[in-house]
Amino acid sequence: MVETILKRVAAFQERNPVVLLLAVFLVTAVFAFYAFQIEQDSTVDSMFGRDSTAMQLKNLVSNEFGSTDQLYILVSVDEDSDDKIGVRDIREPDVLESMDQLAANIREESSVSDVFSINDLFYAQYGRLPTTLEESKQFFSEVQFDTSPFVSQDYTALNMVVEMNIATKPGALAEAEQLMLEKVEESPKPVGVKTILTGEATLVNRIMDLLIGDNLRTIGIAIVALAIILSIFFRSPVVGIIATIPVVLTVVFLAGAMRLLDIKISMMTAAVGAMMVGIGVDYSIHMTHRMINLIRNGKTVLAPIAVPSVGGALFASAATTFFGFIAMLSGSSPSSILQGTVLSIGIVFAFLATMVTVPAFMVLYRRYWFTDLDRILLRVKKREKAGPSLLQRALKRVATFQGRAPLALLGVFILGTIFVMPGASLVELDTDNENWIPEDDETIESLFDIGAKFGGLTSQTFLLMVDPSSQEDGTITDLRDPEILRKVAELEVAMEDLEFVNSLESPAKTIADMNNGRVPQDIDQIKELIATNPRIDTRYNKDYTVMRLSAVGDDLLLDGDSELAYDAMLFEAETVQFPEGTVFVGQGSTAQWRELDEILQGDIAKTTVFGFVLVFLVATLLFRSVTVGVLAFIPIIFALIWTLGIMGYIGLPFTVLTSGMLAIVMGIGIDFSIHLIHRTKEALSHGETIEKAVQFAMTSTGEAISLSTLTTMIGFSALILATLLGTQRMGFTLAIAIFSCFIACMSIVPAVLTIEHKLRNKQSLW
Amino acid sequence: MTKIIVVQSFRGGTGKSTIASNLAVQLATLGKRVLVIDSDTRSPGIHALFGLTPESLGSTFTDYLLGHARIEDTIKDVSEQLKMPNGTLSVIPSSIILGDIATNLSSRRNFNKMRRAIEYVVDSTDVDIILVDTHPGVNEDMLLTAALGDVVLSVIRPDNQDYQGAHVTAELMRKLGSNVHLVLNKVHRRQPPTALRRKIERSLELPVIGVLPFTEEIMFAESQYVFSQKHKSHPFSKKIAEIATSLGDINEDNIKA
Repeated sequence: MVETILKRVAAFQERNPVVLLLAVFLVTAVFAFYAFQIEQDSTVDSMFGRDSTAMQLKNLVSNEFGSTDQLYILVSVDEDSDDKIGVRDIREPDVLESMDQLAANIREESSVSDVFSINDLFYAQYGRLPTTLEESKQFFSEVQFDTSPFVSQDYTALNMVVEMNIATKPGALAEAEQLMLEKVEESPKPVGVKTILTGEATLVNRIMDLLIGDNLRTIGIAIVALAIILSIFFRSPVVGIIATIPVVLTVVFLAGAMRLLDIKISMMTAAVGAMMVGIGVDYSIHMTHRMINLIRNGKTVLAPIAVPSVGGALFASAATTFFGFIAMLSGSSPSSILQGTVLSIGIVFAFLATMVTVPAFMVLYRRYWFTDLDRILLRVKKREKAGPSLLQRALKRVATFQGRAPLALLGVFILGTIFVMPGASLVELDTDNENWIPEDDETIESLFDIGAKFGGLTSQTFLLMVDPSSQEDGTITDLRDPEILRKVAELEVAMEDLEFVNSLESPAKTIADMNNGRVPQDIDQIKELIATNPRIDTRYNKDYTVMRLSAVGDDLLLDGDSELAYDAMLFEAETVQFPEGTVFVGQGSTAQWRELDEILQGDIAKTTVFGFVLVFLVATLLFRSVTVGVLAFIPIIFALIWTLGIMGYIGLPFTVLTSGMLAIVMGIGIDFSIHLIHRTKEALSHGETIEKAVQFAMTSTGEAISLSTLTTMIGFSALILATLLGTQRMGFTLAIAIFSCFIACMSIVPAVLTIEHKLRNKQSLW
Repeated sequence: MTKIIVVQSFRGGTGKSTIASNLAVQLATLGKRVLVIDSDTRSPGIHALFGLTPESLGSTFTDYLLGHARIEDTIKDVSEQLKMPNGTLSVIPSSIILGDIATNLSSRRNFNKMRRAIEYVVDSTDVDIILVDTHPGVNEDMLLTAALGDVVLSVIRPDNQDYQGAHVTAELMRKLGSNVHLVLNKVHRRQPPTALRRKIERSLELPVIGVLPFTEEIMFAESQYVFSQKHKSHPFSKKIAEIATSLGDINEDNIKA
């Protein structure tokens, strides 16, 4: 049925290429219209499902305690300024005065719940700000409060902490931050002083901007690189451009479709465009390769020859790739599901764009680029037996060996695999922030500066909750219970012993301080104490079933070891052993990333197994042969082992972006297998011997696969130029994956086909 | 279905135009509607055999190629002039004006016009057979017509130079996938036709469709008329008639083969 449809399409393409291309142009215009309206989603939250623990805890904290987001305004001496009258000491009264104005200005905003700065300490001590530098210095020398969160040790920078109170709806934080940025920029400041707005929210927005910019740039670079390589390979810029057009259309269609389906560009989907360039070009190369050969052989009819044969193989490979990507929908993380959805839509577009535009353009190219005489001369000039290219000669040599000694070749390949295999166990999953933190970025460096220059600014939140699922008699239902508070006080001591924790802010400490350093035995006494100090109440939710604890440290937020610190703190909590019926959990970015780790690890296994099953079934059904199903499948397993092995040996970890990579390897690996099987079977059906059939497939399709591997690798390698480590790693991983697919398919498929054919015909394998 | 027969030779003076005009008349006599195109724009002449004078040519194939005339305006029906009893015979002559020949040589040619002219005849007229007379050697017009032809008749003389040329023609036609038949012309009565035919067929691996004798009378006719029409029982005319019949018999399957 597919063949009949393809034949009809081909006849139409040969007759009416212009009509077809006009239709494509119209459709493209519609998709482009939507593509330009595609929205960004710069929240990290979108990576978590609504049911995820991370999101539930975040909502709980937000509902019960209000938002805890903080922004920092760093006021520092501008070292680049050479103005003689410029400020050299940040303690200058002018600087303090300007900060005071800025604070007042910011406090007016509804999204701001409070602003803290060194000025608060001045007011607390003197009731006013200093009027001279000497007075200011005097204050710093005799101040009784801890000034480290607000002033750097070398007195070159001041820090203003802005506590935000923001609705949980997506984008609210970004909006508030933009408003803050305007206020900071508008506010008057003394000569030689610069102000920078930073904070975790700023970091996330900045990273998203970079990530999306990275990917758009990468798509651009990859497309230009492809056009150049294809122009060189096909020895014609026009053909190079024709082969690149489907890739551009795929990206436009995909962006348009994403807008229509309300899928936003996010950390999870930003890289899909670049992936589609890599995969889409494969289809286009196979079709263009066949059609330009027909033209150069002086054929007057193109589409009816090329479309049914290449189209058949492309359909088979697109269908299997599609199901490989569909397998990603079996994952439970939004990352896996969204990537799977967008990639499978992308595959359909890549297939359609190639099938519709390449034949039509090539028909026009033949019709208008060549005169009748050119075409005749092409036929006349064609050598009777055109000398094979260097690549074809090499492929032919490999194919001859495969035909003669398939078992030996398989043996060598398996030995190689055994050598690579141990590397696979070394691959780690890395959800660290470093994947997303670019170098040389002022906003982000300032955030690190805050960690380094100021003390006690970062914190890790923990929640102690009454477990609603175990409400048996006798279990604790009110967290003001003295037993709970004693355990919290115990935890406080344990945590403060950790070198990276300055203090654990909890109600236990304050209550004990109010009661001669001991937690009262009686709950009513505790209730009374809490009633006298409303600040304690802020650590509880309304019905006292949730208690918020904050471990405050100098560098808990973005330090590379933040996960280790988090683990150590959780370990301390475990040793304290809170009473039954309560739950102690971590909340915040480290906990979120930890959960993401677990989800992704589960997804990798699930999507891979599901993908294997689907790909096997689809290949078997399409070729109506279990052998083909198995054959299409074996090289992918080897390609995966090779990819993982190489990743392990060179220390390349999995990241959020590459966790779905196994499905992608499957999608691309199956393409190579199917093209090789298709062509070998075609040659066998024309009565060729298996040796000749393998040689034919390797030198014709093998050449196209080699080119496609090269271009796809270049497409993905373009990601290495990205700013963010996560994107660079993805490019590198995919380039390795494609290379592994190439090696595995080109080695195994012809060898196994030969073995299968010889066994069936009772021929010697040696 | 219109059949396109291209008459060509590697070298000049082989008798291409004479054979083309005689075949045209014989095919028309068999009841076919025949059109002769003189694509030899550099050294045109076949019109003279059909009794057309330079003054009576009107719009020519050269004019069409230069974009000065439509192809339909260049067709001259010579059936009445030649008193054809059954079929019809038309000619598209080439210009015999030096200026036109020179302009055509120096202008940038549109190489798609040859195909369009033939497409017009095939699609818009009731012609059964198009006979194309070409310029000798390997040149643009010969290539353009040979690629379109259903049958290519390559005229050679029993001459070593012609044999070598025929080798080139044979290779060329193989690459173009053309259905080539050799016509061996000007064979002297002392040369054994059957042995000669076998030798050539073996060495060139191409079929010989006819062996035509060297005839002084044709020279005496001075290209003023079509020889076989006037001297029907002459051996040359009989051989021409045989070739015409064979060409009429070459059906679609043979052509494809």
